[in-house]
This record gives sequence, C-alpha cells and structure tokens, in this order.
Amino acid sequence: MSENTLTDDPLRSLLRDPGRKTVARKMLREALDAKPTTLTYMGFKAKIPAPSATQKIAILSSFTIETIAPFLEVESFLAQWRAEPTFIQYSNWLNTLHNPASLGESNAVVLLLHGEAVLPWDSTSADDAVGLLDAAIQSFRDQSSLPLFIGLIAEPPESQAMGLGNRAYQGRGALIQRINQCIAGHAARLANVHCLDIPEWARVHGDTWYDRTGYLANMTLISHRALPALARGIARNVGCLFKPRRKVLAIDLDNSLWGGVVGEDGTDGIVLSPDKWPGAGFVAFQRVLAQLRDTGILLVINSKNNEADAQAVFQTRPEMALAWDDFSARRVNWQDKASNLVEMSEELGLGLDSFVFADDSPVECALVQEALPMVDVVELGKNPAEFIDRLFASGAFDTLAISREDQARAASYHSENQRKSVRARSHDLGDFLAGLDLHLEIRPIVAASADRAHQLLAKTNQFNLSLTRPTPDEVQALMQDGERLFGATLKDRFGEYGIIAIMELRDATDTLDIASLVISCRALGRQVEEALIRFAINQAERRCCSALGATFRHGPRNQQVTAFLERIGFRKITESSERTDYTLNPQDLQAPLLRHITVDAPEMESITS
Amino acid sequence: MTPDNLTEQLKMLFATVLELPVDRITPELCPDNCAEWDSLRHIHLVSAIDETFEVTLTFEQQIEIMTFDLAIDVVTEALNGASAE
Repeated sequence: MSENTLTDDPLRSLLRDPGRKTVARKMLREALDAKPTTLTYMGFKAKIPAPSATQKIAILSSFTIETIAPFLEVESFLAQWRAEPTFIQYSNWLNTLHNPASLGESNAVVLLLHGEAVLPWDSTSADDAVGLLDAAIQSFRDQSSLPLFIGLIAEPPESQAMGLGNRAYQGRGALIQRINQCIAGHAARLANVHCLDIPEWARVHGDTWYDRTGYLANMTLISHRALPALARGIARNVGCLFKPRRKVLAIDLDNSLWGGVVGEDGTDGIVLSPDKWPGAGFVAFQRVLAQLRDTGILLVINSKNNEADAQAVFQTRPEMALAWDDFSARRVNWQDKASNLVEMSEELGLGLDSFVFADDSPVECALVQEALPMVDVVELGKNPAEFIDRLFASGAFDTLAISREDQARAASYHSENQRKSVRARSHDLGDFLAGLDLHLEIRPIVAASADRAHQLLAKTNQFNLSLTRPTPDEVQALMQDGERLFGATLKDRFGEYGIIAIMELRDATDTLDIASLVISCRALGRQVEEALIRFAINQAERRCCSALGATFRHGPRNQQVTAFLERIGFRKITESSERTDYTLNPQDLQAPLLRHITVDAPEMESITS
Repeated sequence: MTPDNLTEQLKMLFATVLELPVDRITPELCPDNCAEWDSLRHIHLVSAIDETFEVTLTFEQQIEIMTFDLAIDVVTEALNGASAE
C-alpha cells in the first residue's frame, strides 16, 4: 500500500545500519504514529531486520489476543528489544499461574484479564475475585522467579450510564477498582511483579479501545485499532528488563527551558510564567525535568549563549523551577553542540549512548544526530505544551522502579561538582578541607553494614593495607566480636559519601595490630587516613597496648599505603618482597592535627585535636 | 472507486497481511490452498479492510470472506451499503 512504499527503501537500509539505529527507530516511530494501522505494522514487520536474539514473552490472557503478535514484534523493536510472544489463553491462565513449570523457557510473563474472567456480571462483592488472584499470584511467585507483568483490569464504560460520577465507589466499577488495588498491592510487595496500567492506556486511546462485536463473537475484547497502543505499552514496560535506561538529558535553554532568546530579549524579556500561557508551558516542562532528575537522570545544559546571560536567568527569574546547580554539567558557549556533548560525556564518565539531547531547533537536532548517531535526539518543536510528550515518546527514560541509588545519583554528582568548585577556589589543601566541613563517624560493623564492609574489602585495590579479601561469612564472623571490625562513614556539607573505610583491629601481646585497612579512593586526601590511625591509637591505649602494628602486603596498586605509614611515623621492622611489618609508638606519630575533620567514634569523646 | 482499483488495493492488502508476493493473490485464494491464511490472519485481514476502506464489516460479512474473490464482493457490498447511507 502507498503508506509503506513512501518510506520503504531508505528506511529499510537505515534499519539495517547498526550505527544509525536511533535515527531509524525515530523514523519508524513517526511513520507508525502517522498511520497506526494493521497494514502499516504488517508492512514494517517484514522490513525490520531479523533479530539476533529474542526474549520469549508468555502472554496469559482471558480473552483472544494473539492478533497482537505483529504489533508487539514491531513495538519491541522500537523499544530496543525483540519480543517472541507465545500465547496461553482462556481458563489456562489460572492453571498456568498455579503450575508455572510450563513457562520455563520464557523470559517474562504478561497476564491480561478482562473483568468477567474474575468477576461474574452479577457479582455484588469482589472478595472471591481478590481471593482467586491473591492465591494465583502468590502461587506463581512461590514457584517461579520469572518477571510477571499484570494488566490492571479495564472495562468498557457502559456502566457509566448507570452511575456516572459514582463509578469509582459504587457498583461494578468499585469492585473492579478493588481487584486492581489487589493487583497493585502484589506489584508493590513482591519482587519482579509489575502492573500494566491498561485502564490508563484505554482512557488515553479513547472510544475505539474495545471491540464489543468481537468480544461477543470470538472473545477479541480489544479492538484492532487499539492493538498498537496495547503493544506499545507492553513493549515499553517489559522492555525495561532488557535494555539500559539512558542516564543523561542534555537540554537547550532558549525556547526550550524558557520562551525567547535571553541574549536578545534580556532576562526580563524571556517568556516564563507559572500560570500564564505560553510561559506556563515552559515552567511545566521544567517541573517535569526536576522530577526526572529525582529519578536518577542527570540534567546537563547544552546551549549557545553567553554563560553570564544564561546564569542570570537562573538567578533573577523566580519562575524558574530548575536551579543552575540542578545541572550536573554545563556547556553554555558558542561551540557546536556535538562537541559540547562529547566533552560532557567525558566529564561525567558516561558514554554518549546514555545521552538524550533535546532542543527546539531542528537544525541543532539534525547536526547532533548526524555527528553523534548514538545520541537519542528529541526535537521539542515550537509548542511547549508538547515538549513533555515528545521527550518521553522514545521511552529512553522508561524504568519500572526507582531505586535508592537512582534517587541519590544526581545529588552525588552534584556534591562532587560542588567539591570540585570549592577545590578550584581554594588557595591550598587546608583551605579546601576547611571549606568541606568534614565529619567522620566510626562504628563497629553490624548486620546492616556487613554487606558494604565485604564489598569495600573485596573491591578496594589502592588504599588497601593487607589485601585480605574475607568472604561474607568471614566478615560476619569478625563482626560478631564487636571490637574487631570497624566502618567509617564520611559526610561533608555537600552530602554523604556513605561507608568509605573499613579497619580490622586484632589484639596481640602488648600490640594492637591493624589487620586490615581499606579506604575508598573517593575519601582519600580528606584526613580520613590520619583520623583512622588516631582512632587505632586510642583503641590501643584503651586495650592497654603500648604500640600499633601493621603488616603491609605488596600488591600492584597499593604502594601509597606504605608511603602513608612511613610519612606518619610507622617504623619498618622486617621487610620481604611480599610484606613489610611496621610498628608505631604513639609518641612517634607525625600526623598533622585533625583541624578539618570532626570524628565521632565509640568511647572517644573526640579525637579531633 | 473503480472495481479495478478496489481489486488491486485488496491484492496489496492480502499480500501484506499474508506476507505473500502479489502474484500469489488469485481469485481462488482461500484458507484451504494457502497455509498463511489461518484464523489469526483472517482477523488481521478484516482489520486491514476496516482501516483501509473505512467500512466496518458485520460479523456475518467477516466470515463470508472465504476466498479472495468473495472478499472483493464483500467489500464492494459494504462500500455500497456505506454510500447508500
């Protein structure tokens, strides 16, 4: 048909060019959105390259849904994975949840139910349905660790006529809602169980979601006109298991974060407003970017402007929802934007294939896309009300759940940036350290910190005294003593570093041996090393030991430890090619006073001099 | 739409949905002589006819499409019915 031949050959060859996958997907997306029909999907299904690997998706459904297969194959390609759907239907969905062994070959399971499958038309209570689903989902999880995606139940809206606004709390609508809450509860409680928000997809799609004739004639509940949207929703959600999330959004400023050009219109002349169109469109977009940052996406600026002009907007326009410091890197200059992206990729230590670049200018977008095909480029267009949809259309930022690390990521980059900036402004190291307001807390390792202790001992190569690598069980055993294994947590005025050092102290005759000492390289040069030695001396005195001992084991990358020990007064006793034994008489300590770090440690009022 | 146009358009439609070359779409083509034309593809054919010709076939019309020739008749009838309204 004509809609296929228009984009046929260039797209077919583009789809096979591994360097231009992002561009090809974007073109395919536009073609499908322009005409989301069965023929368009069937036509493109024949054009996309054969997959090198597929993910087997078992679709358990209470209604006929096999017709979704070609749609899912195309949409999963667009979501950067390849679905190989298999279908298990009608009453078998329940048996399969109770006996999931038959799904052994699958990579994920999707469960799609319609209301009458669990709630007969004349039901007056959802109790039976909830009980049935509770048992089935729990039974599945007890026997299988496969990811399970459960579609929330959506029903055709005929009952609206019998309840209008009361559907949510009265009648069948309320019962369905209770069942959906049960499903959502499982998703929140059980690992690897997720919801598909089908009622929301149906609402957005509109009246043609359901096929009433099809349902009554052959159980095809979902209209063919809705299959693209259903397939897309499934592909994006399930795809989160199989593809990495992009990590950085590089955003333009003029006509992207605010209306107008600050260099020409001035800070007072640009368009920004919390409640007046079109300025409200830009503020709404900024608010979404702030939320995106809270989910672990780093925001960076890529703008052609004078930096002072741009910064003035952040400083003087209270309508701005984003602050200058919310950006983990900034390039506000007259250099080409592709070069800026390359620089920021190096600065953040993140590959360009984890970048999304968004700009209102089609020219800038085209230039970046041409120079850096691995970057996901989003042309925001001219209407700020559309920016949000355009930004999220590619699914680059899709994620099933936000982890604690995600939430902390932007803050952690931000803290490091602020430290760098203090460092750059400081005249010397003392100045820099004084500006950080460092605080070190030393505590015995307990169950909650044992994993981190094991991780640090296992992974630290540079500041590692003895290179001992205890197993998790050995860490547990050391922890039981209560006075042997200590962890140090560092924070400064820009944020927390977490546990950054582990020290194992072992009583020997008249000597307290430092059996292990590891410090994360993020915390070096902050007087943490000296503070830990002072803590060990304090422990030695408390345990009536007259000296500290330390055995250094030579490794390929830990020479800085021996240099440190000798600098602060440790004396060599014996030396071989493998190890050097040291001792320190506390009176010989050469460590500088701890002027810039406060230390909080057990049974020590303060070891800050 | 002339009858020739309709036939050609339907041929392209069948070829795309059944993943066959256009010259395989003969008047006699039916599920019995075409392995690709299974019950699932039949639903896709009906969907594609609905979207392409903007006609909603009744359930009875849907199951009447037992050969390619009959598909032409059904679509012609549906289009005439639509224009009569």
